[in-house]
Amino acid sequence: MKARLRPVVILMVIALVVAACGDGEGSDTTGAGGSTTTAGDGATTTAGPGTTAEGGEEGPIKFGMLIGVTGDYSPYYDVSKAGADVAIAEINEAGGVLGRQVELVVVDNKSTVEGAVQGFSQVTDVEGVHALGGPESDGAIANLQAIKDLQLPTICPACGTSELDQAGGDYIWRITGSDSDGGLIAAQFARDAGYTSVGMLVQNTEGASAPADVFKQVFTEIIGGEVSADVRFDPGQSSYQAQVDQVFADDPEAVYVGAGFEAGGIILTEWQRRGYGGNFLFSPDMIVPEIAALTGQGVEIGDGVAKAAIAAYDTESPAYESYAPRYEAITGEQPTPGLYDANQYDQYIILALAISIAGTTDGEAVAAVISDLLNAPGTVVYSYAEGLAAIEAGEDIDLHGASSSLDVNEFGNLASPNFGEQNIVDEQWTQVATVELDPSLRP
Amino acid sequence: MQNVIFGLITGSILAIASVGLSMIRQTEGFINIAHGQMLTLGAFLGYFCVATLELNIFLAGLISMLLVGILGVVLSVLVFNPVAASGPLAQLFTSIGLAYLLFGVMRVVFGANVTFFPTSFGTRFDLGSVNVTVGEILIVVTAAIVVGALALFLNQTRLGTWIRATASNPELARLRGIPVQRVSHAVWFVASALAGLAGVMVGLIGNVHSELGWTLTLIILAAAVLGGLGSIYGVLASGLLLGLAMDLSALVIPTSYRSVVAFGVLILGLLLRPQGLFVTAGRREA
Amino acid sequence: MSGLLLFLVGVVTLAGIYAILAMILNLEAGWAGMWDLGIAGLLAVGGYVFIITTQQTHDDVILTPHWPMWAGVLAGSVAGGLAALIIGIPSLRVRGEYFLITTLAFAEVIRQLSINLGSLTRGTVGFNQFTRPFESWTSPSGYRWVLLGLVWLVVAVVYFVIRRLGRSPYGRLLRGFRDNDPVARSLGKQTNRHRIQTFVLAGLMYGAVAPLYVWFIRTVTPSLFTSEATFVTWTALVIGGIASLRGPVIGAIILLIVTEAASLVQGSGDMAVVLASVRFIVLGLVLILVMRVRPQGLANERDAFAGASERVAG
Repeated sequence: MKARLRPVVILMVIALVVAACGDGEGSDTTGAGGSTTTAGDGATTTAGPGTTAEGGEEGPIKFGMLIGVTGDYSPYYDVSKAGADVAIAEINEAGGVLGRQVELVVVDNKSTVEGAVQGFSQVTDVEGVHALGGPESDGAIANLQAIKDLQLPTICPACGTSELDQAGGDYIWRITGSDSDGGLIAAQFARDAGYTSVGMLVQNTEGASAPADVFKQVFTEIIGGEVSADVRFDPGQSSYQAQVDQVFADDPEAVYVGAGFEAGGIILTEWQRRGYGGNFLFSPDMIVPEIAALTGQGVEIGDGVAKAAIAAYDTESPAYESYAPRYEAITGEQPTPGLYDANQYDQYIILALAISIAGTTDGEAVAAVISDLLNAPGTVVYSYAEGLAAIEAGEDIDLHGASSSLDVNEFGNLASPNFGEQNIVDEQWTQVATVELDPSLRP
Repeated sequence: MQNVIFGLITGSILAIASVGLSMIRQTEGFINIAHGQMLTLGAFLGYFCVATLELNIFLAGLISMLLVGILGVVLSVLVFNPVAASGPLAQLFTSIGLAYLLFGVMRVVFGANVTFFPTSFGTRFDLGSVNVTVGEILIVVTAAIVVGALALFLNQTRLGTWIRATASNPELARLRGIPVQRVSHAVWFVASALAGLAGVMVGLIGNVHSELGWTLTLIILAAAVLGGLGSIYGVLASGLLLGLAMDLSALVIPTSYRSVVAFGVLILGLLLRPQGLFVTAGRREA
Repeated sequence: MSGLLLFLVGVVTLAGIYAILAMILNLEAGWAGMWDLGIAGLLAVGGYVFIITTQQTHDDVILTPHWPMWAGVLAGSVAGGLAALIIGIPSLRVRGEYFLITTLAFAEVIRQLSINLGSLTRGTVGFNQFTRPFESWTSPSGYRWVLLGLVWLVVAVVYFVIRRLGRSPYGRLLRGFRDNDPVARSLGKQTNRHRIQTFVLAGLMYGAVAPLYVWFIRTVTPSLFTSEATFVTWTALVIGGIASLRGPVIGAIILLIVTEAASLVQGSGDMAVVLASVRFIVLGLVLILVMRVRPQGLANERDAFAGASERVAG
């Protein structure tokens, strides 16, 4: 038996050695100007966030980014990372936080729940981050209790899940609109366009079905419209011919499509092929370049045929105007609401300012100041350096970010997110108008 | 009625994809889980030919078929033949390992993104209450032609006859002097090429991404098993049957149950005829 | 290094969970010869029944009994056994690969139902923020040790139960059926009854241990119960050695450590995509190589039963 186990033991030892070596180089560091600087030897950070003991006094401040580098969410990774990098560079150029440089630690959650749980352990136990950003909805929910248990300040840049409508505010904030609002806005569009009969084609995933249900409720019960067909489907199939046919069977004036772009693209090409006609109301997941590019392949959803709404970037805010060129320098593209890059930027500015105000990395103390720094009253600031200056002058601050004014309510949600209507113009998603949510439509 | 057209399209693609699996099961003796990855590879190659090399779709399909077919033979020699003596369980798990391996390699080479074929489907024909486009007609017709060619090949050529002989009784075939290795190569080539073709079709109708293999493997397996793993025509028929069942069911129950329908048909079919729907003679036990 | 240790605790805990699943699978597949690809489905039944009967956080479902945890575990187990009975009766009429596909089909159906029956299961959102056993004993970051101990305690219990079963006349009979032993064959029609019994027993066990997985992941969603869980369990069993006693445990430990260790190696974003793909490539290569070099797995059936009387007359 011993001889047979030897290769096994060797294999395990190799695996452990690999893991241990990986630990030392495990962080992706961004210094000023984008050059990689390894802060410290990276091996002695203590476990758990916010410990003000030993390692908390020297060494870099670590911000975690738990995100889908691989898997279903991977198309969003590069732009998310770019947004984060802009923030980290800005912070470090201004002297860092509490005089220490900031290090971004990226951990892949593989776009799965299990990956998010494992990744969370990695980012807290192994990396010992002081604060967390970047998670998607399902990962955030899975780790919600752990976040509260560990008192880890966490910002969700793009979590739309309605589960967070009332679950945040003490240790987790989300700086994008809720899916519930997304569904409501779609109903508002339908009302304003005068549609009386709308079909629904909805993917059976949480991110898509939750806003769709809100849409249906608001459109039928409050606006008094009619949903001619409510067709739900599983993602991951290679064709949706029967579903598309079913939803257009009664010739509705418009169809609400709540889907990811993988399924959405198939649906739209099928729609074009069969020439069904009509208009579209899209969920935010469809506001991605892959869908806009379809207009170049002959799918006629441009110029207002397809409408979507997403929490809009305030392009006139000084924060946005400062952020946009730096983002463009990395990616070659303009910031895009549908890709949440400015949100990824804002989350780290928020966390950096929070630690600066609290004067410590202790999770509880940091979390306690976040809502205040985002809301009035206070000196309005638009960047990390401005915020730092105001703090040092002893003032309360009110941070306005590149993605929005960042005012939050007691549940850590945006108090009144600005929405923008987006159409496809010249093969690109473009904001054509701002939209104010009509509060009378709230169920 | 429109749903019948949809069912035919889905079913044709499914039939082509399942036939190869069934052939391998018959002659090599195990279920090749990596079959789905061959399909994915076909989709990627087809997309590459059309989008990057800007070839027309027929040429792209042909090239995909050839390349995937050749790869199938190569893999059979390198990966599957050495474990043939270890039994069907070992072969099954080797195929699962190969599926993971191919999946990983394709992700590295082609990336993890989702793309759509930049191909138009041609004009739409209205025939009474149904409509169908040129591209879709071509898919069904191509499938029919390929099936016909396969039948001709199996029945009228010497190699085809050898394949059928090996499928029904490998030991006897070997004793009778049939070149088993050549038969094996031929089967792997044909089965893989068909998977590649199915992949191109799937890419055309839907989209192209690295997960295609996994999501479709289940349904292909269902079609192959339902038809009775030992019968080519049975598998073809059950592929069509499943396609039709899935799309016609949309008329009566919510479409979110589409895959449940497919598996329900499978379970029901096996309950009624445990050896598969269309098998008349006894089949080879695992 | 202590941070790495804490992370490894999670890996070893998960390895323990898969070791349990692999041992149960060994019972039905290794000894009774039933190639079950529906593990994820039975796990889903057990997990969902457990959480539905015990959770206290969400009010928007039609069933909220608020039972104590032990009652939930029992309920999950019974549900697993019932599901196995319902699945087994039709499925066991077919053999070999047909059984494989049928069980896989049932598992997919179960997963679809967990998505579609939203008023019972909360659909794709699932359940979160629930309490776990013995949570009051330690701080939140210390709880991982409690869970580790709990899981490996169950590993030990399951190990001894299965070993007892394996060495009993019942176990010998099962292996006899599998190997077409003439004495076993002479018992004729009893084959099916024994198979169903074993299948239901496996279902009961899967259902009973499902809560461990739930407590580890801390959320219950349909996406947890895809066929990937089934394939990982099978891979662990096959690598470790089908039909042996220690095989499932060894296989699970090796498999989990190798794959999770790979995820610790970090790099830039582009590298990460390659690395994640490498994980699959490594998994595939390991499977292929083990099948090539040692198809019976690393541990051995003969050793498992050395000393126990194995020969049956005939």
